[in-house]
Amino acid sequence: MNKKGKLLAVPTLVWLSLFFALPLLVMLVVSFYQRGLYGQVVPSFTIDNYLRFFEPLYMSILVETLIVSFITTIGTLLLAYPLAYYISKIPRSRQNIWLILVMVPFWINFLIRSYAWVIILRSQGIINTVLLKIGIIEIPLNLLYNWGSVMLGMIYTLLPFMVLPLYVSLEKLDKQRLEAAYDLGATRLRAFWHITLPLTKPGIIIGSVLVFVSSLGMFVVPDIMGGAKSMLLGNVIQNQFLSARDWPFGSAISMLMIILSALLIALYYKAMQWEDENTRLEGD
Amino acid sequence: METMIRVENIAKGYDNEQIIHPLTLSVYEGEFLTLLGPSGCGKTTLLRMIAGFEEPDSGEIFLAEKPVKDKPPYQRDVNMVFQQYALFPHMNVEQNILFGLQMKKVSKDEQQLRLREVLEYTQLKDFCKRMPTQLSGGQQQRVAIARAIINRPKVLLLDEPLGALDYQLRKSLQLELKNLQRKLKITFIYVTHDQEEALVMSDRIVIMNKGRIEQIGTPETVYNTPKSLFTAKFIGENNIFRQGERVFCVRPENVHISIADGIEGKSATIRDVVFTGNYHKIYMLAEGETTPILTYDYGNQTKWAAKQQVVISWLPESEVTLIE
Amino acid sequence: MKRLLSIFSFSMLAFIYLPMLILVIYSFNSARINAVWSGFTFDWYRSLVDNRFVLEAVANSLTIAFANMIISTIVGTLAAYAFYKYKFKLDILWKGLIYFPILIPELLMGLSLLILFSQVNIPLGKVTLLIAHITFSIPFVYMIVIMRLQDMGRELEEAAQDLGATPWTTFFKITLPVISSSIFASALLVFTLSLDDFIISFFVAGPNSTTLPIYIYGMIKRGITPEINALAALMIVTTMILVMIAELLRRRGSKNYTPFY
Repeated sequence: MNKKGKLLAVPTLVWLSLFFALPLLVMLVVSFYQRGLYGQVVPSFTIDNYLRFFEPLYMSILVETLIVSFITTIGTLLLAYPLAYYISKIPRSRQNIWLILVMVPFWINFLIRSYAWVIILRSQGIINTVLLKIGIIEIPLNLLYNWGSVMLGMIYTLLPFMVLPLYVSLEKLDKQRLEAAYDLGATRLRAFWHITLPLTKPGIIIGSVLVFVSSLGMFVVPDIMGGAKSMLLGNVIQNQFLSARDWPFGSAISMLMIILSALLIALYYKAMQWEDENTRLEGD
Repeated sequence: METMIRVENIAKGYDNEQIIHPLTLSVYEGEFLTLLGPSGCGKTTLLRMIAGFEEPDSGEIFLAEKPVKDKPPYQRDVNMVFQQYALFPHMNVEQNILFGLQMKKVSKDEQQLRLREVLEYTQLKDFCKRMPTQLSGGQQQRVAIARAIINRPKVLLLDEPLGALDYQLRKSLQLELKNLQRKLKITFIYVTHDQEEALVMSDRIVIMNKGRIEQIGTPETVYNTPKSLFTAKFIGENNIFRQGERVFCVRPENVHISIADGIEGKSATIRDVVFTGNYHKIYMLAEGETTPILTYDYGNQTKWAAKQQVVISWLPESEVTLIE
Repeated sequence: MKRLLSIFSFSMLAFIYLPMLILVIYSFNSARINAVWSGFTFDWYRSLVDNRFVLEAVANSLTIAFANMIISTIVGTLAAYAFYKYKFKLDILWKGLIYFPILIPELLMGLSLLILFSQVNIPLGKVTLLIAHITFSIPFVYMIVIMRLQDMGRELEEAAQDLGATPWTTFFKITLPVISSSIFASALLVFTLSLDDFIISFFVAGPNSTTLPIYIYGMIKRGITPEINALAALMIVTTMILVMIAELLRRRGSKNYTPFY
């Protein structure tokens, strides 16, 4: 058999090795270097950057980021699950329309989607203007530039990421098993709790990993919708690379973020395998 | 009779699993040969090796005396009818059928000539401009066959082509294919797991199990004188008996059943009488045994009923000794 | 219960689209600062057209998106075909290399490229932008095309070869036409990705290679103006149209259509 066709993959593999893997390796190396006086990278080995990350300032930001990511994940899950459930129950032809509608915003960049909320929530924005006009309030509400608005922005932009995996999991659910449960006397609630929920665990895990990992690296939403106090890890990193010009330190934090992401992605992989093995029975 | 295909010591394994143990087989010119066996027996793999889609680990394949093992599929003078027809969805029926001739750069006139011929054979004259998605299963199947035979291959390989069709359609197409083969005089190698289909269509049957050939013979031979226990159980229905070291079988139609009134034979009680349409299946349990013995009562009415006491007997010639 | 679910779902849909709808509507509001509706106008759109920075950003965005689309689609499609047809040693390593860019936060990809370019002394500009865009686009093309190929199954290509077609002929006469709608869909999606990309572009664009999203970011940082609404509205509409067309193309091609992730 002609094996020369394998060469077709070479451009892709070379390109990605060069421009994806290599940069990450370089970043790893830089994370062990030092920052020079004028912000340049000085190639002398140190682990200071990693140690510095464990200072209270950065630790507290890490904790805040983890909490925000966690809340975002839970928030998107609670909103996305019923939506995905609904979509999986309607007739096939309408399912596709719904899915396209839900997924399309995913392609519009975070910037614009966050900005839309800014003009709604700001002190001269839509909500305040309407409430002032009606007379419910006398001074504009501070709806923006706080943790609440950041959470709202995060959930809003990451919602599509959660809907799709949940839908796929729900759709694969064998309706016959549910019917068997009803047949045996289970109420809808119990059937949901004991059958549907556990069997859609892979979808839940996949969606949660996607959302959580994205939240970790998010800096646009806090930048646009958050105030000076709502800085997340992504903003810290962005800072190190732009204003603070401490690339080694920024790289170190980035490497830690990569490790965290990689662990979560490994979890995602396991969940994918679980999904494949356990939603198909003998004879499928 | 000339040997059209000879497969010598062909073996194939994947990841520590031996799919086909070294086997040798000759296929004669103009015959309808069926590879029959349960899923996983290796019959499809063997077919694909003849077609050129799988490479044997060892051995050689000869087509009309010429070795072809190292030749890719597009250089072998065989054509295949695929299980799911594999019609090209972006081409209509005519374009699908003419594809092979276009690859061989046959002249336009010759193409049209053969096209007309093949459309006659497969009764597809009115469907030329249709797209595959506009055809029924049976029609798609005919297109797949037309597409293959228009090339006048030395051998036609068919991979369970009737599997996806319903019972009535399958029955009529079985006869159609058999007649087609006789008319065209092309060697057919047919793969199926349906033993009834094999018995109806084949000149010879190759029974395969777990990568080995169990038996090769005409339908009559394989039915009346199975060599191994596997074949005896796989083809038709059979009664298996053990007597010490000896294992033998007796076909249900050779088992005589009579009322218990002093005739020589095994005494037994009828356990079940099953109506199948044009005959009845009678299951009987001999004294002290747990495996039922089966016999048939032809005609759509029967005098036998469950719980009756009967006497079973058969002629000694009906016993076929088996290897395990 | 069903009704509750249905109400909830429609509300969710509204939640998703309302902000963007409002944005589009307000891009026609003649009031500069207030959210009070003071009349319909095209002024903000007009001022965009007069703004040479905007036009430059648009030109940059379109050029990069287009070049990216061509290169990524071809390279990604070929890789997908290779992985569909052959078994590779170290399979997991290669698949990881291809899928990781989609999974890790864009921030990290942008930064690592920035570091690479600076350490190797490549000046930031259109070239570095293009390189970055191709890097995050190839995996998308790969994913879409390989799904379609696996859907197609191996029988079609085998049938073609059985009938005398060489591997090359098979690829061009059978495979390519059958998967063509997915290839076009992935091209469109890649184009959209490029057009909309902010995070990665932000770090690897040079001073003279501003793209539209980067420009919008700058505008937002400088202060809220109605021109931003107009620009954002245009981007929303363009993206939505392109993505809808792409998804429809993918649906047309495939029997087992699943929106991928």
